[in-house]
Amino acid sequence: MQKKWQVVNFAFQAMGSPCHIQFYASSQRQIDLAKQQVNRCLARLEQRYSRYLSDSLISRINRSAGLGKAIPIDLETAALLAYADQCYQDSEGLFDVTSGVLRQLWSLEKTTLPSAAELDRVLPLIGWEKVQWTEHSITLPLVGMQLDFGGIVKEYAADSVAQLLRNLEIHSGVVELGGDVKIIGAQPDGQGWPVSIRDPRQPDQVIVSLNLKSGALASSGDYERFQLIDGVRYSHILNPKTGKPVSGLRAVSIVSEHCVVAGSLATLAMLKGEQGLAWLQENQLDFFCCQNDGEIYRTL
Amino acid sequence: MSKNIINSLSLAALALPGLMQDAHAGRAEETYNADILYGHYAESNQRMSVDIVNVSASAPIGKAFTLAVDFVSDTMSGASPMFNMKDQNGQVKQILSGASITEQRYAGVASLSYALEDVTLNFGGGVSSENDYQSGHFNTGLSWDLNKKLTTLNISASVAFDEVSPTGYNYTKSKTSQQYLLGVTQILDKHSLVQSNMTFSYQNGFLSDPYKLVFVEGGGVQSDARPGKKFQWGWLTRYARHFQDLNDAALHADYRFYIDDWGIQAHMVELQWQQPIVDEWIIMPRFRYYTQNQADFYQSVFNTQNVGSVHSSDYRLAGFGTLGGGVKIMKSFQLNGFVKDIKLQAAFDYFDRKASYQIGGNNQGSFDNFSFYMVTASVNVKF
Repeated sequence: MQKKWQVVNFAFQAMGSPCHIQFYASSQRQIDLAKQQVNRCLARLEQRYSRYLSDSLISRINRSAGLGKAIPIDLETAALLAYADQCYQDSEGLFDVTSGVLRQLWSLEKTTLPSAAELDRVLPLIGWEKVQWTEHSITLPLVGMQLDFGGIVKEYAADSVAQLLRNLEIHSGVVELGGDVKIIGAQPDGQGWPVSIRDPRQPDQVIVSLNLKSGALASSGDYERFQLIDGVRYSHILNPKTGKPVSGLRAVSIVSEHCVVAGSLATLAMLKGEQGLAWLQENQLDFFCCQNDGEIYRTL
Repeated sequence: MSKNIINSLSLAALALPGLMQDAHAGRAEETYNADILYGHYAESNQRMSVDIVNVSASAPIGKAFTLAVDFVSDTMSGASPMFNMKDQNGQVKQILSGASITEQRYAGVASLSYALEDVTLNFGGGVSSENDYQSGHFNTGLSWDLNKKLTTLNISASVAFDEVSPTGYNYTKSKTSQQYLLGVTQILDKHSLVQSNMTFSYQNGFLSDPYKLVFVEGGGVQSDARPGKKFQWGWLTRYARHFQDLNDAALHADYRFYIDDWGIQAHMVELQWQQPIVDEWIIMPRFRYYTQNQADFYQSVFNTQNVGSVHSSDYRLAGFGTLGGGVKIMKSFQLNGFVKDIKLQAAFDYFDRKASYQIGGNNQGSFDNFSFYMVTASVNVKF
């Protein structure tokens, strides 16, 4: 019997970003199941890891900081903590999921630089090594400490959605969650999927067009989110050791097998600041980057 | 140093559950399950009807164990056939038990399964109790995935001990039963599988029905008397095929052959079509045909020459056929909260049992023909 493939375009809003999934399906039931399970998967991740939902697991963990209370966690959260731990180890403490607390000093509404006293107050609250966690529970030991899976969860969500669609026998498609892309599989004719990277200097322009048959693309940088204080552009990526915004790179995109890996590598490249480009080259990553001076470097 | 960080992070990423291929593989799902079923079975001509309530639940314990419990309450009422006799015209007539009695049966079963990489072990036991009948059983089984999970071997054994103390009689008799199952399931390709199960059972002890009689022309009635041993062999073959192009429909075709040393041979064919419609509604029409020939010692009525020491007029040991089918409707709701999944099911089946439906024909007449139906409704909740 000849397969009647139909292409499905599924666009929606999730995790605070516009999302778009495109795939080939062979039946209406497969489409219904796919949409239902995608919604369910993303709702679950948002319910657990969104900082903006006051009853999310991450908000409950953050509220418990300093109360000496161990918050029970599920296997998926434990696995994400283990992944975050690996990022912390491999980056010698530069990629730290407890650094989100710095955002209160550098929020977009602020128009002045934080004082040294403010930095001295917040910096001790940062440090993944202070967090006590096991496979079953987590304790944030200091009042004010925060956990933030930015740079991990949205990318992990893209990988998860791609895998759950594969489990539904969908083998051709692409998942894009707010700019993070994971390929489910090549198009039925063997062609790759068009994936583009925006120009960090003119975000409405495409600077790189790729054609991906597999793997993932994730980006980190200051496309829209940066702040100007006294005419100086400050990144929203904050260095956990200095407490200050990074400088050096304006944006980085990385292609890798898994979106979550591409995302953490891109964030890490940003965190490397002035050494970012050298680090990307030294690790032989497939990358596109734009330096603060507007200079473009790429291997993609 | 080069590539090290990619390898290290990729390895860590592979431990994330969302990246694992088929998160359900190799292990019973980590969900709690609860089921409630209500069923009503009724035979034509005000014969027996049964109301069934079945509650079951299962829960994972640790990483490898699953505990399941199941409780059934059956309420039986109505008349049942006792024996047959000939009327003035020489026609065979069925005599039903007079008073409409109500009987209650309770049964409980518990089982524990232990899942290893490719092998799942199962141990269980249960009891069943009626005012005149007590039964207990133990069972154990093993399921073994081979050949990259394309082949599954099933082996199980069970033993049961039953005791009957018939109302109105002053004795207690017992029987023991053993049953062994050997089965294999083979995935043929992405869309089809075949399953073959063989069961052997051996019963010994009191196998007669204390409430049934036989009529002997010129000799009155005698008690039902069956051999003290029974050996049974059943062979079920199932073919299942998935049709992705028909909105994920599926066909199940079953054939079962049965033979025992009481002289009964039976064949059963069942076809079921599973059709998803929209919004997780599934409709399942099904059809079944069953035929058996009579036991060696069965007669509708006996005479003094042929009554012998073993004899029965139980309609279940007669030659007959059953034809029927029904439809089942299922609707699932997938939820995000504490409750993950709710499944509602309702089914209706109707069967017609006739002597003349026996394969190859049967001239026993229509005296023990009847029809029956079964309605069920159930709710399954996963959380």
